[in-house]
Amino acid sequence: MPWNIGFLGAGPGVAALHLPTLGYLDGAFRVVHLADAGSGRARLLAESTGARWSQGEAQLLADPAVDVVAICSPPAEHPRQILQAVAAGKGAIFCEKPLALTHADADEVVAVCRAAGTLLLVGTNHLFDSAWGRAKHHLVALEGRVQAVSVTLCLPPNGRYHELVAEGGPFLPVRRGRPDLSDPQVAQGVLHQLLTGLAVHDVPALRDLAPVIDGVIYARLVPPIGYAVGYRAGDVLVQLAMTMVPQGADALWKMVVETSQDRLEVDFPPAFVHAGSAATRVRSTGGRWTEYRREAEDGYTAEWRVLAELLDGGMPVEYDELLADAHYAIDLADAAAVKLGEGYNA
Amino acid sequence: MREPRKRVPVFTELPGYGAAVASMAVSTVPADGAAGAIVVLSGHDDWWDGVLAAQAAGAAAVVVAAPLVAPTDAVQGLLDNAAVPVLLERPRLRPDVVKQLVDALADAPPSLVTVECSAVAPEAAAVIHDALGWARAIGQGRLALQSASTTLHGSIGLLQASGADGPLDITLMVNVVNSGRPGGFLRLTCLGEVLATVTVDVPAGVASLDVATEKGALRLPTCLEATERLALRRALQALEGGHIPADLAGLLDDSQLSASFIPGRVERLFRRSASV
Repeated sequence: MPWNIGFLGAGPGVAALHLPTLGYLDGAFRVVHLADAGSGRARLLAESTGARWSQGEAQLLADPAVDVVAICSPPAEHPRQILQAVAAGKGAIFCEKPLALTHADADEVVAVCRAAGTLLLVGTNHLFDSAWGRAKHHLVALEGRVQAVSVTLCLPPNGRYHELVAEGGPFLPVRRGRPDLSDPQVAQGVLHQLLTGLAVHDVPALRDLAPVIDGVIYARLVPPIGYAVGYRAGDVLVQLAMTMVPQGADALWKMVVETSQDRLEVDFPPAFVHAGSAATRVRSTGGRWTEYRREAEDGYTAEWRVLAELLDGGMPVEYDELLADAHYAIDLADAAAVKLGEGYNA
Repeated sequence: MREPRKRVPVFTELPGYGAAVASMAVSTVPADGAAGAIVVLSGHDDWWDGVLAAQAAGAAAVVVAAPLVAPTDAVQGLLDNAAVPVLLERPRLRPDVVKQLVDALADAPPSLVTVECSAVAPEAAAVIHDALGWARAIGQGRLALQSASTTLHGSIGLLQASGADGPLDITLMVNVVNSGRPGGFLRLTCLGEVLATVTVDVPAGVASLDVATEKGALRLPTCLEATERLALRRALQALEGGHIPADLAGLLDDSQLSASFIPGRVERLFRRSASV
């Protein structure tokens, strides 16, 4: 029997990502309800899936057919909607990243889910990409000491990828006018949003490699939209760089792990598409490159498969890990925003 | 009948330069001494003293092969006192690949640049110099250090170039590995509408430039000329043109900035060798 899902949110992440992804899961899930905040997009999506639709959260949460609530709304709504879903007695929640934007919210939602026994999974899809598992295995097996990590992104507009996986677009996110980056608080908010919204994809990996953030060395916003953030975590140095470009090459999303003896590169495929796992290459200090075989399954499909296993009782929910990831992302975004503010004051 | 071209004598004991002279048989000839010759020195030890000694011995130009260290006072001293062209062969900063990159980005300057490099400790300073040389080349001007931090085994930091296209942020990440074949690794990524990636992997014999746009990806022709031959050719050009190349000035800039990026174990190594 498939698990019945209700989606809170009907933006591009649902239309061009999760709904098409579920098609790869052999009927493990069935969409029964979609809700939006008034955009009318839930109705359009519901028509093509045969699901019910509603506006706001109440009807979906009261719908007895919904087993799993998938929270795909704007990040600020996530904690409140998780709490409401638990209060409504829902047994499982898929929450798009980030889980929360404040430490207090993260603590509360995890505590409430744990106490209620509600299954919880956060959609940091890179964590579920088999290439990351392979990379971790390499790092552990060769016992190289991790010394530096970089994550570099250069992203063209998502629309290019939406149309490869879904119909009915363009699926444009809500337009919010151009922020006034000369205002330090606005700039800090934008950086915080970019780190908790994009960099968060790699936070589980970064926390593995560089567990405790000791200090942000630099933090910049990069035009037109982007960031450059460097921080120190014990003896590990981390460099995060991102730009979004109005036009441009295929998406670059590369994680590099520099150890005492080699360099490991993980190239993630573009967002939205189902192009298999990331590609992992290792360069030994002798200049020999080794490329690992890619897997057919991508991180998006894998994360839903893990949710199905959780629902089937095949594995426990890692509440502590989810909470630690959330705290790490918030710590990083808070510290980077403070550093950015110092630059404005100077 | 045309007059045979006058061949410029080259005085060198370095095998790579011997090969370069052999491959430039029309324009160069091996020499027995420094007087009137292009003198090629190894970049190990106190090469800056060797440059002045070669000049005193009558060298027409000096090429320094792969300078390993570059104390700022020594390089400044050369800038003040060298009257002949001084060319630096920096294996990870090939002028031909630099030109390819600058040309590729001419119409679409990047919005952010990252430079990553790794090397064994004895070569780390030279690799950092070359990494900063790339940053300088892409920034089209002087770089200002914004912030940096070092650990025992690495460093990261942010630089800003104030080039013709406005301020450009450039990040640098350095990693010191425990062992490996000589030469080091360097990767420069220019993020923007033109996504350009330079990879210089000396042990692997790679010096490549990949350029990608919305139309597709292109690997530029591999620069296959030996770095020794390229340096020698540049020395000939300097002599023919009667100009002093900017190599030393560039190295001085790179050396000054590198002080903030030298990892702890490399610093220790320098201190140990200085005290011997």
